[in-house]
Amino acid sequence: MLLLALKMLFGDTAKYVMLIVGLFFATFLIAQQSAVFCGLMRWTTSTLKNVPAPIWVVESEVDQVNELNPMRDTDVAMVRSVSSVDWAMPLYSGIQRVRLDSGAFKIIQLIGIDPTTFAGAPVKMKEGRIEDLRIPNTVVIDDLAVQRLASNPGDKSTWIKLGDVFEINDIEARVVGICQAMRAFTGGPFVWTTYERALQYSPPQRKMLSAVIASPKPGISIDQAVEDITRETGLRAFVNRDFTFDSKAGRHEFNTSTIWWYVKNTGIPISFGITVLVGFVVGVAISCQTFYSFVLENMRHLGALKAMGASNRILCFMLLLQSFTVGIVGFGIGLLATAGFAFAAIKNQQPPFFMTWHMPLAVLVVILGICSLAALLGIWRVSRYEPAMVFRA
Amino acid sequence: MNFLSKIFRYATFGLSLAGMVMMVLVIQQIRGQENKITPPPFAPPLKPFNDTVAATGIIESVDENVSIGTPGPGLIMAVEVKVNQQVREGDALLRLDDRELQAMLLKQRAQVELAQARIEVQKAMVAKSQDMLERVQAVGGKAVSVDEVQQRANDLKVSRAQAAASDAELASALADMKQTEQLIERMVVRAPRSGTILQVNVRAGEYESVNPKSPPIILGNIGAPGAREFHVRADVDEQSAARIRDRNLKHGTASIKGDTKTRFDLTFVRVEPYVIPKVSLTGASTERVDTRVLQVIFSLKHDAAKHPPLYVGQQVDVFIDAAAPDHTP
Repeated sequence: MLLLALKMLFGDTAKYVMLIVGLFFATFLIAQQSAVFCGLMRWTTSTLKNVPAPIWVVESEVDQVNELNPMRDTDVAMVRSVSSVDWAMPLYSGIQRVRLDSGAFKIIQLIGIDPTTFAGAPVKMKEGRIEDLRIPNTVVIDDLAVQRLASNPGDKSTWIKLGDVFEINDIEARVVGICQAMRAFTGGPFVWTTYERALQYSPPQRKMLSAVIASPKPGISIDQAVEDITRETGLRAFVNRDFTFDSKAGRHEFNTSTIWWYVKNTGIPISFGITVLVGFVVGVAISCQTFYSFVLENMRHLGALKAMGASNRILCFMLLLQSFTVGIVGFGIGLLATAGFAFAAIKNQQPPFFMTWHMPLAVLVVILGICSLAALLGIWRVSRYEPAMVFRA
Repeated sequence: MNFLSKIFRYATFGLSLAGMVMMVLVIQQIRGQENKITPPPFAPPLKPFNDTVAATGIIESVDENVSIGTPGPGLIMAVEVKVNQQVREGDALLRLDDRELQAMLLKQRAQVELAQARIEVQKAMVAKSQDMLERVQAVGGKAVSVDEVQQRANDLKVSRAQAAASDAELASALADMKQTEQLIERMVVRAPRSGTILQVNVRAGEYESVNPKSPPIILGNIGAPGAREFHVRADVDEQSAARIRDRNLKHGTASIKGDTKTRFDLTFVRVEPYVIPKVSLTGASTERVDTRVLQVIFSLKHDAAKHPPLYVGQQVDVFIDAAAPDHTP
């Protein structure tokens, strides 16, 4: 009986293709657009990803990592004095301008880290050594800066190498290291230097300390440490874990707080949401229509089966099997296209792309939902079909 | 036709399966890209106490550094000490130009001699007047008039007074000479206490103004080589100042920038009772004062065999043991 259902489905290649194309589009649009959206949102937290530290302590009114309100230099010592803190180091993070040899200006995300321990240093160094940052007027750049700060980004021979020099606010900066880093939402490459030098590169302000990065003492939970810091210093301490939907934990989670800030204050989720919705509507429209006409076309066969004594339940099961088969095939091909897009995006680091295993599963649920909806229309039609109608025609 | 549709059907199955496999690969690749939070490349200084107040400190010599001053502006003739030299109290450090005073002294010495010569003259005069008076008195009687005798006696008095004046003149000339000698002595700057020369900013031939930008010589007591002793001045943020109780303050540790492994034990000396604005040591061109700090002084014994070298003026991270005072009823 089930084989019969599949035979029925594959018998009409044109309808089969139509169904698959519809579901393919739905899968691709939903999966790819939501992955780009997640990637873009993740880019907003790239500073948190690139500066490895379990705890970030910021000024009490700060909500997101790209908008830090400077603190006093002594706040480092205050955080350090909290009992549950193992170590605490100063951090500078700000957008600065770089002048190239050609006279062009590019913006960079300047990160200043403690020169003794290099807490907050990039994790993946590709060339050079982080210790060389102790040499005067030196910086470590990321792989985006290699291209971005080149005099002619199209020409590989002009790309920045170790030992090359550029200017940050009229002060010399010599490259002693190249690291791999995540791209920033602002588009500027990441440039690391020591905290003191970062202050020299930046125009003077009364307060310059952007954040304090810290770690809890072994044996003390990170949440406990964050609570202690907030209570004892009056500053705002965040955990640097990962995005969470848990609103209670999310309040002290910097990634979550940053992403929610962008969700609330920018039109990005709406524009992506509309595209995802369009994908859903396209899927529903094409597959429901095609499947319904497919059922109508095969009504004679279904009627004959019914006349032969097949129960409504079996017919219903057959239709569901047909639509789910189409759904899974279309979903798979949609994933193939998404994966192709993903490989290109990951290689170029652009456009943003991020996906967890939850997302394909969610898309699968949506696609199967569409298929069930399409099957429901057919089921409704078949269940009202009188077996006698077959012979009448 | 049937064959083609069969191929097509299997192709869609294949593509679909490939899509799912590829998606697994993509997700794995994305996972692999994620940065784990790693500890800092160089271990940060560990907090040695349960209840710690952290501060930034600066190393200075025992009982502070002495910025030697000069008594006045002048040309420097000689610098008598070198950096790192041990000096004792009273040792000459600098010699300023004293030629003007020396010239004055020459003249004043001549004045003294002149005054001495004059005393001799006056002595002779007194002797002469005495002699004259005695002779007149010896003749006696009516041969010499009373008037004559009286006059000789007066002459003697005048001579004696003049001799006294000459003595005074000599004393005055001597005092002048002594004053100049002391002024010359003042042109030699001497060590006010024993210690080590930490810095010499002047060379012979330079002119030292009244308010020099940097002190000519910095002197400090840092103990003998091999058994150095320093003081550490720790700046505690005023917000943490309440946690500093000198009653229970005993220990602290310090670690220098660049070497977080070595821990120097500190012994509490005193708390400065005056809270001062924090001086920014970040090296930025503009100094920013945004908080006030309580200064706590610790002493640090340096063991050359065990410890890396320490220098006055070095910045250190200080951890102060701020255990709450015992609640004894």
